[in-house]
Amino acid sequence: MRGRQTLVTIALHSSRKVVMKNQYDTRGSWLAEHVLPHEPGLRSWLRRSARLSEADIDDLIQETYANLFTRPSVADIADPRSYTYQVARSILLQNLRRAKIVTIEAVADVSSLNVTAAAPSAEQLVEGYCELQRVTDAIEAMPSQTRRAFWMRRVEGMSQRQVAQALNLSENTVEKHIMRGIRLLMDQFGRGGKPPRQASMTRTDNDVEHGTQGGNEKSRVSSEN
Amino acid sequence: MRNRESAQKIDDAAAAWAAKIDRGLNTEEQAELDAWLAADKRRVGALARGYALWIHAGRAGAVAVPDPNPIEVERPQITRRALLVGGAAAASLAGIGVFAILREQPGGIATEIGEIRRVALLDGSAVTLDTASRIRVAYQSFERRVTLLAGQAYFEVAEDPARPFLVEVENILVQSLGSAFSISTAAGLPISIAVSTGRVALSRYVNGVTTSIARLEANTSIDVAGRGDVSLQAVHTLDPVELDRTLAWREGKLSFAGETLVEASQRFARYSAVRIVVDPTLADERITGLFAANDPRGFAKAVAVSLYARYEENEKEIRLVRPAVIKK
Repeated sequence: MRGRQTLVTIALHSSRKVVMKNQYDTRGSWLAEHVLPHEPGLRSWLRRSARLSEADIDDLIQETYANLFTRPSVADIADPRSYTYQVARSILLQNLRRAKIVTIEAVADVSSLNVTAAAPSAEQLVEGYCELQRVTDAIEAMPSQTRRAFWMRRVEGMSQRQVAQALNLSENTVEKHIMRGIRLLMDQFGRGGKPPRQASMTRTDNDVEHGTQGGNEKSRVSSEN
Repeated sequence: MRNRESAQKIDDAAAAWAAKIDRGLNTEEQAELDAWLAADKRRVGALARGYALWIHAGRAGAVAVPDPNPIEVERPQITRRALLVGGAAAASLAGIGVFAILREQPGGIATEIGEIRRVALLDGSAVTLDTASRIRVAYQSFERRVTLLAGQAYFEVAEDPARPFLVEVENILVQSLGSAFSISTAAGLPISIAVSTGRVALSRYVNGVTTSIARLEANTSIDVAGRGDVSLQAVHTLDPVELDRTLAWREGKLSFAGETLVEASQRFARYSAVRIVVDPTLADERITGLFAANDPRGFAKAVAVSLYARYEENEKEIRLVRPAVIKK
């Protein structure tokens, strides 16, 4: 009986693994295509209309992505842009209502936030191109070894192991470079095209560096659990 | 309210997990990830976003190719050494060529103000860069792509049907069909393309869609508006004299045939730090002639003589002034 249960658990885990990877690839791909290009616009809309701080915007953006990622299906979303704005707006409302100290005006303000008023402008129609350019710029700005590993894995399609062999690095180091590259993209992409804030960049570099050298972001993470 | 984990901290861990998912998780890590994700919904969002950016980055590579260091992939052992040594110490003769190319890669190949340089590319093609110009070269097995980031360049392409030669400038793509051609880009001006031999195909990239817009034969030129704008001007036919004029910059010469004095002064400004300041009453005078691009003084003196203007000079600038006694 006990033995059988163990078997079932293992089977679940291994099929789960496949499902997981698939979900990141398929939903991640949808997010990349339909949501990322609108993120800078969404951020500036939140900054302008809802007058949120940068830290609050970062939180809200993460919650918005969480909602879109865990949604059972995205096939029914006809207009991903306005849907994303609506999700962000309803999370913001929820958070405001849940907060202990919140003025009625704040809730009223956000309730009246007009999602359609944020319709795409002429410039935003070429946004897709600019977004790619922004990512390209971010890749160019990476430290050279990180950029090299990132490029070989992502664009040339080599596996992390193959990259490690080509660059004569350990697989662990290659993984750290990929991590660092993704981290830099996460930071630079979010700021809506503004030059990265000096303080934030410096701090981020240290964080990444720390993670790279210690090789132990796991322990940091688990200590927070 | 704010003693909870910051979004930045979450992003740090999310990036690490994205890199691990990319290489594949083992069962233990999967359980660890599940536990991590379960603790805060924002972690789910941060990881989804990080992974989406990772996917997005691959697409960016397919559009505008930055620094793939093609040589490095082909000869990792030499490159590795050059990288390790990192400086002048890699001075064995064999290393120098590779090293020079490597050093040029991160920012592309560039010329200083006043410099005009012809560079041989790996495939036997050549590119001549005008003053203050910059290109990025990205050769892959399936294509050869050069991005013109600033200034003006003249390409002489070694044909290879299996590997098309593409020049990208803003959102315009120029594909060589057995050709030599020049492309220039400057802020506020349309992108200008002139073909001296062969043919080129022009297409435009907007919102992920590439649309063919024109084909140019030898001895023609076109001005195309850049990013966003879809207007397209007519193709001009260039006679041999006009073509030579258009490409005179390759010999360090500026050729004018009826440009205004202001336009001509602006052309000179691209080649040196010396500025020619023109009296407003002289601004629209028409200029014709062939001048050395690196000699703005010689140009200004010649203009002064032919327009009866006064030539003045200090450390910063050259002035062309119309003397009060001579009214036009």
